[in-house]
Amino acid sequence: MTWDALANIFQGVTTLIQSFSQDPKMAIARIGLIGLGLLLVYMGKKGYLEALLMIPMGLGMATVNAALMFFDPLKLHGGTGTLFVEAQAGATADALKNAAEVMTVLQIDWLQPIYTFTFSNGLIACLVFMGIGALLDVGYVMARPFQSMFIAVLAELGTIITFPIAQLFGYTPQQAAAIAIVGGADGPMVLFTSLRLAPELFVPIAVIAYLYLGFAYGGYPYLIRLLVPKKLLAIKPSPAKKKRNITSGEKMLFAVVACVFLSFLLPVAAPLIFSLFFGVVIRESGIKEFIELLQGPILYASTMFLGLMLGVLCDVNTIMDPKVLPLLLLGVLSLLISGIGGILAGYILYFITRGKFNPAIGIAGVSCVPTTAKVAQKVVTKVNKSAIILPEALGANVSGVITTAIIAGIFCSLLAK
Amino acid sequence: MNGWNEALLTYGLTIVISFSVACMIQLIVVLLEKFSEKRKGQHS
Repeated sequence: MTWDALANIFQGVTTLIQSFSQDPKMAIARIGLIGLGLLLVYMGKKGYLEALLMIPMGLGMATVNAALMFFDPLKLHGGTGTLFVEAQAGATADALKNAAEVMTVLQIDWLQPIYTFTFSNGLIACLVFMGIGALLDVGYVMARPFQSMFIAVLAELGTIITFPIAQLFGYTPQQAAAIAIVGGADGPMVLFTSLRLAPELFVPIAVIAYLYLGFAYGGYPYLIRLLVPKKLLAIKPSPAKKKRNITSGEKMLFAVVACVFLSFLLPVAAPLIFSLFFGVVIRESGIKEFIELLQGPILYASTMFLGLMLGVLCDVNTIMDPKVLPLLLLGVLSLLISGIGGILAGYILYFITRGKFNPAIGIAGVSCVPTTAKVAQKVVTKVNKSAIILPEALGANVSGVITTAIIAGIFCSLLAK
Repeated sequence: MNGWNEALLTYGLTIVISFSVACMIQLIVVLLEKFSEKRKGQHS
């Protein structure tokens, strides 16, 4: 057996050695990505990051960078590729060539059907949204709509401020909008917007968004403690005025009206708006079989494939794009400003109510449902066990989803090429 | 001023639409409350 035959069998090793001699940076980055993937699996398992997403994503990332071989049917990556997925297939200006490319890779790459038929058209984001909708109780928003919306609107400051800042970094307005929407802290919305406005940056933006959403769980408690003194964290919300319970019929009526109204105003975001409120309507309709289907198989299957696809899309050629590095900074900035905006809303309500509102609730305006609401409750509980802020926080949380959908719709309408 | 105008326009529209939704919710809640009170009154 010759060395050539051995090199041909162990192509993962051969491509790495070749990469070291031709472009050491790429070789080091490839090893780094394998390490990062393994670290994500570990952190997911230990509970530091969201296991549902990070375990499939980490394993996908490590494997796809290990399994590089001499295979590039579309001649896009200088002769190397994998048998997983080709995100750049069909991205040329020639429609006929695009169709031919997609048909070719559909028959080769095993995850290509999932990417082509569920990712590139936003279906997976909509499926996740249906599942989230089926878990949402809109009664929290209906109990205090103006307060919830006020918090949610201020918690969008990160998106609004990052949009022009990203343009200063040289991104086009479409790319800047796709990056800025990370500040809305809503994964499916980030996927949807980046696919609509900046498909060329979809992979890095989506990966960074989901990574940061994982870190937000660990980082936001520090932000709350930094900005809100213990005395204010201990504030108990004033007991709610005795109101009658909001019935499931009323919640359903709200979801139907809001779905039609928002879709009428923002047709570009209608698929996402519909998916969210469809989930809510199913939940309130009481159709047990549909509720179980959305809350279980649909939500978990789409989350699993979402994580897996994001991982396998993290190959070294995509991540080492020079346009990707500023994304790391802009993503953090966006989420940080949104968090500060939410707490600012909390402070404004604290002053308006003359000290009866707990400013920590503001962080829940950042629409990472239900993570930020839980984070706020967790921080407050550590200071005052009898302060239950979760209902108000969930109201702000659900409103955050609605405001992020509104911003995504406006960006997509305003900036669509 | 690259992008600030679009950012402000987006934020302005977001505020208007969000509070329209809040108004709509309030209207639904108030109307339904009145409706249920009326029904209770009729039954008693």
